[in-house]
Amino acid sequence: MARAIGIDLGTTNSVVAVIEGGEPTVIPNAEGERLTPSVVALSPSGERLVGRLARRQAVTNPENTVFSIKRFIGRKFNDPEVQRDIKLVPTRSARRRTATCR
Amino acid sequence: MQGERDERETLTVAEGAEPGLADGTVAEPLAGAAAPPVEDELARSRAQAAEYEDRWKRSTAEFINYKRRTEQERADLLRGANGALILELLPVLDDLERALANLPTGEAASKWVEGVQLVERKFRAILERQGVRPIEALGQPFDPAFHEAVGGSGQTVAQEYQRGYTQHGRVLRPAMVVVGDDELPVVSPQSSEVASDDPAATRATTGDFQA
Repeated sequence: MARAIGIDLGTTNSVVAVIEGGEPTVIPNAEGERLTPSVVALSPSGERLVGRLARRQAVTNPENTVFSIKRFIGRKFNDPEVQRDIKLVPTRSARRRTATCR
Repeated sequence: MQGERDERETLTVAEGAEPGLADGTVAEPLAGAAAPPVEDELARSRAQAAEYEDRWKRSTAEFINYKRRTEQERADLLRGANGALILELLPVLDDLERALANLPTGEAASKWVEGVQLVERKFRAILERQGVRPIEALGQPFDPAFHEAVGGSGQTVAQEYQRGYTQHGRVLRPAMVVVGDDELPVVSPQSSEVASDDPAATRATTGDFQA
């Protein structure tokens, strides 16, 4: 039976839950945690990393690690706020990605 | 009186037309223009019965899944129940290691130091019995599943600040590392030096232990 999940996409952390017997139940991630850092990354080997793993390698791979993306979702690249925030973010790819979101 | 008669009639009609009841086309010409209430009732009841059956099947399936998951969760919990406690105790082992790695000069051969080494070994043995294993980091390719980078850039672990541990294959604490380029010599010079001229240090494979 197909069921819908609900995602609370937070700026720093996210939670996924499903309705079970009329009550929401949080689905833990692969590491067994209920909270998953809202971070994704592309490793040098081209592997996609999500959550805790993405955060662990962020220091060595800042240009290909995306975090706090919620600040940019749905915004135009030319938006003055986006232009201001972009200077604070090391993610080079984020710049490109927001640019394509025009 | 008239209404009662009508109902009786429709009842017989409904019984006779049972196989084709659902669409109502068979019963309609016989029963007249007004929709027969009993037939309606039956159709409604059947639809309801089907819905209840569907719901019952779903909740049964859901319950089986729930039971299976609960059992899995319980097994995980039992296996890793002491994980949180062990995580809290690891800093003590870190300190013990550091203390033994920085012995005052001339104390290396003392019986007292030997005793402290035995304490450290006992601690390790206890952790090992609980399924705790150190994570190999130095010189390994950087893997975010086991290593937490705190600096550097490259693909290989060049330095280890804090040793990581797994318990039953699950990461308790990732190794805190600095990564470097592959070309850099990754084996720290102290470890080979210590291993060659101090036989007591050979068990300290990571080179933390220095006489």
